[in-house]
Amino acid sequence: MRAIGSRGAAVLAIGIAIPLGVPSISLAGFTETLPKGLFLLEESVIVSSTDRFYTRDGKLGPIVEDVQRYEPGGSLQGTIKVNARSEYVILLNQLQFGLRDDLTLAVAVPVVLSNAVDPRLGWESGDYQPGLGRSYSEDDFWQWAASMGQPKPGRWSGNEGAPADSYLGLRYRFTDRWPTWRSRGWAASVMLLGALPTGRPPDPEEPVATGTTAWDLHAMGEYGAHLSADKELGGALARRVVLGLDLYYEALLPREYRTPTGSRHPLLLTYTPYVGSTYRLDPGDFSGASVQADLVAWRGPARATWLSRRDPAVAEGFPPVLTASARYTFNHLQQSDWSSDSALWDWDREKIWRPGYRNILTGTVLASLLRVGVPLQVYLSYRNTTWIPGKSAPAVNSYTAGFRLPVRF
Amino acid sequence: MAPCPPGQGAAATLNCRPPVLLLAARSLALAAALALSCEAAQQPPYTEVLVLEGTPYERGLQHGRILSSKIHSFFTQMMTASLLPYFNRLRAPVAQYILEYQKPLYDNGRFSYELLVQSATNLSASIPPAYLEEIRGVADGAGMPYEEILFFNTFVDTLMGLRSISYFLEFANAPRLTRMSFGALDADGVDNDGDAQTDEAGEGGLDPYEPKPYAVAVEVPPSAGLDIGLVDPDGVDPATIRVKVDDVVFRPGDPGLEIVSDESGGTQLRLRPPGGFREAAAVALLVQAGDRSLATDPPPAHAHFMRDERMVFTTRGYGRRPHEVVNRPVWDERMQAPSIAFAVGGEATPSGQPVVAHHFALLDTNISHKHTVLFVYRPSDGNTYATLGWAGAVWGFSGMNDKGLVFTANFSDTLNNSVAGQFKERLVAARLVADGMPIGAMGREILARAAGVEEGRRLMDGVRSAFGWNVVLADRLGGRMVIELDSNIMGDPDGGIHAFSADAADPGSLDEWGRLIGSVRGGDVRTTANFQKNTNEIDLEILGFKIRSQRFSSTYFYRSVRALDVLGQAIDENYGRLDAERAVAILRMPELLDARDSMKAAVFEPALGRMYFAVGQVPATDGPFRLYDFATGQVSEGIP
Repeated sequence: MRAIGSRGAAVLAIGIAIPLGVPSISLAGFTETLPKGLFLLEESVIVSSTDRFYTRDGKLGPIVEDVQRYEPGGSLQGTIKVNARSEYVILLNQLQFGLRDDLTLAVAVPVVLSNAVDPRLGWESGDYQPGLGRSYSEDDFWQWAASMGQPKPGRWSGNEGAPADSYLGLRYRFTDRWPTWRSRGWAASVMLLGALPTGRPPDPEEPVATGTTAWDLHAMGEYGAHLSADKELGGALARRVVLGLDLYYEALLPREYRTPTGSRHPLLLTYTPYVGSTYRLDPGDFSGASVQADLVAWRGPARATWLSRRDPAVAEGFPPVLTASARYTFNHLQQSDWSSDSALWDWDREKIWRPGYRNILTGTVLASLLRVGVPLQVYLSYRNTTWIPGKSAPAVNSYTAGFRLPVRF
Repeated sequence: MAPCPPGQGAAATLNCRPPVLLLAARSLALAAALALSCEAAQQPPYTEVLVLEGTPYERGLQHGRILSSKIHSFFTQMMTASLLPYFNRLRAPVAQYILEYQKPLYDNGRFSYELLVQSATNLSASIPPAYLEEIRGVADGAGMPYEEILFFNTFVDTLMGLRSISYFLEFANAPRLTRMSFGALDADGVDNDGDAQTDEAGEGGLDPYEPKPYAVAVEVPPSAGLDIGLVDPDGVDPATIRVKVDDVVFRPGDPGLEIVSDESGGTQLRLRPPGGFREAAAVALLVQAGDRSLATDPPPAHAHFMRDERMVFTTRGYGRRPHEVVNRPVWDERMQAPSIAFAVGGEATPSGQPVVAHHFALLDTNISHKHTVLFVYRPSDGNTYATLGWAGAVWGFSGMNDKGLVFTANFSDTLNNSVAGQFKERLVAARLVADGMPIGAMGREILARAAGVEEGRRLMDGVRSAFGWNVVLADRLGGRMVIELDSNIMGDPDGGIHAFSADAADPGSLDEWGRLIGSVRGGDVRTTANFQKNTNEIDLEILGFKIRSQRFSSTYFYRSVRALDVLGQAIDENYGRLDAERAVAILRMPELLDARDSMKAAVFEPALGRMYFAVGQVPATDGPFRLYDFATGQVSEGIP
């Protein structure tokens, strides 16, 4: 029996984009940093789901392709329709600290609140089976499979409370050194990020289980560099609109996995005898660019409060009460490289995770209460990969809701 | 370019850059280069070409080492995760009849593995030692146990035998078609049943019914009704009855089909199609029925169903005798062709030179085609030859040698096989193991030692085939022959070997009506998966079971007969023009291929030392036919 998880468990696990963008407490942008000595605690919940995958031809298809089943040496039993759906709910804990006014350090620790994969198996009957006197129904087929020791894969859930890979990030806005840049409304920064391997791989013996590593989540690399620039428009749009550009390269490290032995799903996952006890995966890296527009929807009053030390000028420097941002990201995915004792097995996975791309649209609305004396920002965000087609990539949409608390000791 | 001195501003950036910017720019340039240089992975070859030299063990060792990954892959996917669990399902029904399989040895899913290992050991007694040495070399080279590679090389003959028995037991409990009648045709002035008698009593039907490769009756009045008798000890379940006349299906309750059951388990079907049967036509009929019992092991639960019974009759005005009308069912998905082979030459080909074509279909399940190999054997003594096979298998089902001798083999599903022979000899104390020579070993022997058809044919003398096979031998001088093999479990004097060669002067190549067997015009022979000459290969009764020839029991029989007819027609239509390209075109005909279990196709030009082969996709014929040239030893593009 062909593995239901032929696209690999990682496909079922894809899901979230951890917005480790070192968010600003002023007007948003790619280059913002925290004032020196300021901490920013951020908590957000990300709800992410997918049931589609962009094919090599750029068409949306199911995560797992249909599986045609044949009686050995006989006719078509039927087609297993796999309409798998993967869901993650992740609590993202972030803490940022302004080392200098132009240098911010951030740490992000995602924790899975819930994670489930429902294979949602369907069935399309095949040929009339003379021995049965009917075509195989779905129930017939899974009875048949069970007689060979293969249970029907059901809904899987797990990883509750498990951490995903954690991240450290450092952003340096190097243009602060050149007043001319600032006076012309320009800023540029570099950001370096790296992951700590706190995530866990999926259970190899489960055909639809997912993991919590960066590869499983398939949203960010494990280390990378961003080069960003923001331009605050002038004239009538002065202090109202910022345009940004971010170029990035993120790498995923090669990793080694235990090969499924088929102990629970012998027909689907008996790989060890020819794949080897372990296999390696070099997932391929991410690269691309984002453009973003930040718009001040309502600057709001600037009150002299305890937060601004009763100084209206300081309050005026706080972020607007309501901002909105829209971002487009082109995300290029490199060819994955699977390496085991079987080139054929490797190819069955490599042909799914081929070079591809996705077009990501993100919209965020942020409300900041700092100007009125409340040290709180709240935001909602929606991230979409299906409005503009991609290629050889999972199609994941997600919602994020969070808040930020600036703290100075 | 130097980094910026401290304190210099943006004005200086035209001539210098801060180090971090430089670093970032370089990083991004590197990133862009990496991203752009990343190319899509390429599919590894599904087909290998392997030249093997040296002693048998050395050849095996080369094979095992070079193809180790694919051998492990093929064995695991085909055997461990497919066929072994599939055949484990037979343990319970087999153990009902055969005591051996009630032993704990076969518990915990060990039934099929133990059976195959025992069978392989049994078969190894008939396999020439050189091939056992080669098998040992493969095992050593691949790092696998010898017994696994041995049973990998023998499982086809064993499982085909086991399969035939399991179907036989299944059908033994199912409804049986006992008779059919078109009513009184004893006054129509026509010989309706082809027995050279006109209007004798009972001419209007078959009682008892016998499956036939040709028409069961001819010149039937279109308005006639057809009565069919079914029996089953548990009673026929009327709800399971399905009758199909050409393309029209009749189910219980449909106008034109009346079902009458009696107390003794008998059921009568009275078929009266509205408007009658087509006039002056060959009418195809399909009958299906299950009984009232419920078989639960192996699951899913189901009634016992009879084999699809298919027959053809003609209506008045068609004008042919029964044996002139092939039992050619209407095409449907279950009519996919089994393996086919033909050899042509002389007037059949434009150059007069021989051409042989073969398409083998049995079991792919999305696995086999990824593990195909063209093996070229260059032993230190004997012929150089090539076979088309799979990683881990030391033989294939077709090949050619440097003397221009071609060998092809199609299975021919029969109960006259060595596994059934064990049951015949030892009854309930039997072990269902095969014995005799596996067809692959026989093919290798012929290719290794013979130069012509007759020589190859003689090598079969005294050799017992482990299963039923239809072999084609053809040579560069135009010799061509079909040899039908069974395991001769009846001990017939023919030794289980039945050959024909399209030679009109040879009585052994003519059927009972004086026609060439398996040939349309004499310049050709063809075979599929049923016996054409060896048509009554077995007829005995054991423990109340009537064991009869393949036309009574094989699930391949009707589609094989159909394919044979389609193939004959294609040969006839292309007669005189049958070069390699046309042979390929015939192999690619949709009605002549099994789109699901096609495994490999080959066309041979033995006089030219050329072998075209198509493997690595399903159906095999969907891909190009690459050329292996014996003269150069090179593989090149052949026929796209």
